[in-house]
Amino acid sequence: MSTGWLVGSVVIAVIVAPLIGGLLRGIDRKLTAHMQGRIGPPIIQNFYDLIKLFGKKPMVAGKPQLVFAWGYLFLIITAVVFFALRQDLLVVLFILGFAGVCLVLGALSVKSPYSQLGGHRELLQMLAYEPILLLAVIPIALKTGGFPITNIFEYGQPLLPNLWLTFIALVIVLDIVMKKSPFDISSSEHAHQEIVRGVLTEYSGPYLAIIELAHWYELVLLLAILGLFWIVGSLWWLSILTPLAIWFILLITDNICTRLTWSWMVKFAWGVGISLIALNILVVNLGWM
Amino acid sequence: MVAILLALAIGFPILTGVICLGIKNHKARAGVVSLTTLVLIVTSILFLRQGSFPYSPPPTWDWVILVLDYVILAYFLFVAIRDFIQRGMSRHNVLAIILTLASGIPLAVFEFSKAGYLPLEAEPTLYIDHLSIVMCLIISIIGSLICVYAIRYMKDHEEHLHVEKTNQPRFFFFMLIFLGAMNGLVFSNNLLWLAFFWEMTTLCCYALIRHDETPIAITNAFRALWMCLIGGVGFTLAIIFAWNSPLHTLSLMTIIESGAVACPVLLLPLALLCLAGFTKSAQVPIQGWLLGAMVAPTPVSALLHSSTMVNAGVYLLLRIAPGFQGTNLSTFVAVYGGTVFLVTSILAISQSEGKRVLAYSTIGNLGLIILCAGINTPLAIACGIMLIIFHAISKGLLFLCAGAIESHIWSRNIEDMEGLAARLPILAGITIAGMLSMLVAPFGVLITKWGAMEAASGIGVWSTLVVILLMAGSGATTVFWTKWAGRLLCHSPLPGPRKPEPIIPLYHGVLILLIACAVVFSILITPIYNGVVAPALAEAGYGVAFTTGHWFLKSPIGIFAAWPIFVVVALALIIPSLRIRTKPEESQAAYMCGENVEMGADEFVAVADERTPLKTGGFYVETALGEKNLNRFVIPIGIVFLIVLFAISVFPLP
Amino acid sequence: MSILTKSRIKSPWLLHYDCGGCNGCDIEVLAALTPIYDIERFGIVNIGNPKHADVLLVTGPVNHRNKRVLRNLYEQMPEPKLVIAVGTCACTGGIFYNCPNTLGGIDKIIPVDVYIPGCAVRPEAIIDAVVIALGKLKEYKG
Repeated sequence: MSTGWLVGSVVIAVIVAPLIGGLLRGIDRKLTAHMQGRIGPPIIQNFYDLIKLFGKKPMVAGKPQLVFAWGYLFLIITAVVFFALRQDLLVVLFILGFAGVCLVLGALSVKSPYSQLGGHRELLQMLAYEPILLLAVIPIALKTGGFPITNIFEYGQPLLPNLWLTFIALVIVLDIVMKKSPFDISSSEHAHQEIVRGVLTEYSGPYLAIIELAHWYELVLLLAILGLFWIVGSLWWLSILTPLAIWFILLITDNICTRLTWSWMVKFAWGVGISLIALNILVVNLGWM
Repeated sequence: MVAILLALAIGFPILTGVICLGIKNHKARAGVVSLTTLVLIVTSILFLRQGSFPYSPPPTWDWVILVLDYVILAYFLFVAIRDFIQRGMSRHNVLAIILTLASGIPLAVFEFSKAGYLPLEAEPTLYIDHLSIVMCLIISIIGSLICVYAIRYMKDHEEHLHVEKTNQPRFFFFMLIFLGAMNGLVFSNNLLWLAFFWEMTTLCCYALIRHDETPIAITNAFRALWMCLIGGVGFTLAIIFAWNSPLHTLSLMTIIESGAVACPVLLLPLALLCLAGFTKSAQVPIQGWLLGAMVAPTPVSALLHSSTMVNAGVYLLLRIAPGFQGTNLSTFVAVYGGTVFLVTSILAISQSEGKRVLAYSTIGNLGLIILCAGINTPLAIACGIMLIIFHAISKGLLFLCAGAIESHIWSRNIEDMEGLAARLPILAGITIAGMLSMLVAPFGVLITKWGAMEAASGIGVWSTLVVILLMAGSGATTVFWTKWAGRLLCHSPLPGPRKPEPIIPLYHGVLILLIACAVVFSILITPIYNGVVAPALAEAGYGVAFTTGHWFLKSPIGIFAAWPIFVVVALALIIPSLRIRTKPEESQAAYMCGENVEMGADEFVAVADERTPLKTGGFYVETALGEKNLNRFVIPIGIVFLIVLFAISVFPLP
Repeated sequence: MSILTKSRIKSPWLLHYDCGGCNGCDIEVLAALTPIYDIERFGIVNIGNPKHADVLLVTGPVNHRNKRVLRNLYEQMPEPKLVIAVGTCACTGGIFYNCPNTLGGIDKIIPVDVYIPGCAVRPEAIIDAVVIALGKLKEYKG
């Protein structure tokens, strides 16, 4: 790949990713409203929200939370850039992990009952999804002969037929990261009122906007990772449709599920998610897939 | 020249240690300790310039080692029997007596049956290669910094405990000879020499743990003694089996070069050496001694965990790894290391005492190094060696931070450290940076973890299990580090009156030096790899792990671009923390349902208008993940592992 | 109209606080969220945290016990912010007027932008009041 192509893809990723993320969040609200028999807000509603938040007067609860909000945003953008540069997938996930740590530290840095509760719950969410996310890279690497994303492009065949177990496990991860029911434990993606928005409780105005923006990037990045499973071959257009279909299924789950306890979440994620991937790695190692 | 270097690295700290024993004046002792550390640091750097070489001292020294080995064993027997008489029978002193005899008697029988050949030599007696040099640098630089820090710490410590007659001469005696013994250990090629230095580190460890002479310190010291002596027994048996093998040698190099594939009889001595390594590195099920060692003054913990003692175990594993390459033992070691990493990382979540969290994290990271030794590919071994380096820096730093914090708040409990970021911003900032250096990209520890994960994926069917242990453990480490860092950061949102942080040069200086090392070495990871790790790999007969174009680490299956991430971290965290100024009028109290007491941030109005202080706390999941609950499974699992170790080494399957 | 002003008008997040009325108005506020009225059409979201909110909806008369809470919630909302007094009690004290334990309308404690009289108010009136209040944002100079 030429340098120009790489630079172009980075620029596109950094500019287009939040636009897609914001639109998806808007469509999410619209579809959710329709499922509840309402009309719902315009699909560009989340851009209005974001601009409004940026225009509010800052109200801060200590310096560390501001530092970590910036850290969260920048690190997620870095992960997106590394993804666009087709770097090592494991490294992309490590950067994403660091971003997650920043979000938690931002919440835990304020002596506030709700923020503390949210921060600790977010840690448990990370405990639930991080191992699956990291493990999901292994079968991909075993199939394609290496960890860099370039290898997936050079592999020449779609991964999903062989790695659908891993794919399902990643869907669980996506649901936890998106904070959708039944995993809206540390906070909720929607503006629900439980633990008055957990990790986000003490953020307001521009800094809330920064975190929302980072969340858009994160959403698009995870959907893009799901897209990698179809990225090559004649069915490449499925790499766009499949993540969107999965995302739609998660919307339905969100609307029909209640929130469940964190202990259930950890058990479910470790039990089901890790087992699925373990099975997948095993069959790949044995050469059955 | 090389003889002088060796004398300076091994003999000089022992000599100055003995001198310390006779010095009553605090300033003079500080001078001797500082001089020793300076000499050690310079010597270790000269070793690096010298490169690898063999060396055999005159046979007289073999006699000295032979005799001193029995002297140490006799001392163990003496203290255990004395304890038996003074404090009555306990599990610990009885086991110490039994195990001392179990390692001493077979050794004596073996050696005297060969009386005509004594002393048993191996050619060369000492062999200095790049792995030893890496270890020597860690021991001499980080160990020395800890000794310097201890000068101030022991003063505070004794003042706090109101000790009437200072025990510091004895303390620094053991600290310094510890460094000498460790240097000897990593240079030895003759198994008898190795065993001697091995017992000497056990001795130092025992003496330093019981330093405060409280009942609990004495008990824990004996626990450490007998648990480490299991390794001593393993060593004795390994020596006997190695000598009785067809190779008929005590040279570690010869054994490793032959390897267990060519000579299956060697599998048992290698497994015994692994066992010795596991005990020294406090792996499950004998992790108890390292946790008990927390009663010692903090510099001792720092020394044990970062640059000495536990490192001896993983050093030995990495050293003998080429010997068991391609055997079931190798796979076993990988699975065992991964299991230890997972269970200790989970156990660490439930710990509320800072030093215990650090201890579990140490055991976990050593498990990770052992896992690398078991995977036994160039990539894995390179990561194992680099993990020793980065872990030593970060863990040394964190223990010293814990000690410095302790000297301010006189507590080791994480809950008591709430809000230290506001009260002691520099100290807390360094501590949090140290934690991040253990946890997140692009710091060295994570780079090596990345390498280990990628290496682990390529070992066939067993990789399924190993990567799961590795990734799950990795998830758990995120929880306990972030939680602790969060407790340090947690403080009232409103700016209050702040007292300036008292600067203690010996504390802050050492801490800043170590955190700078953690950052700079992580950025310089490619020169470190090319300078010391790659030669060490080549000497051990491994292939190339990484290529290092553009200062990226590039393996055949992955690529880690560390410095761009450092640039981002600087942009994302450091610049905002320097640039952001919070204006007082923008500050707002925490949301407490509108029940905040006017003007007060940390209080709310409760029933009957009572002003109630806000209390927050960490999440420890004590009931589900506490030691009480998990150790029921962890200890039996560890014992099963040790049984399997013997099974596969006595009955090696094809 | 700048894009920021437009966004402010399109995205008012509500915080609802009941000062101690009869709950009639509160039920009507919640009714506005139901599919029949669906206030999310206008980007309005009912939020539980003053730090995220733009508009404070207050029902019921303020009294000596809760004036402190009301003021605190108001102070914890970042600028620009609006206050709507929902229902007669919140406007003037209503049937609680001159009761010894109440202070009367909430404007005794915090500045009010829009008053909606009614006992209880109708959801259409609440939506209308929010729209009127948002008109004030056009003149807001940050």
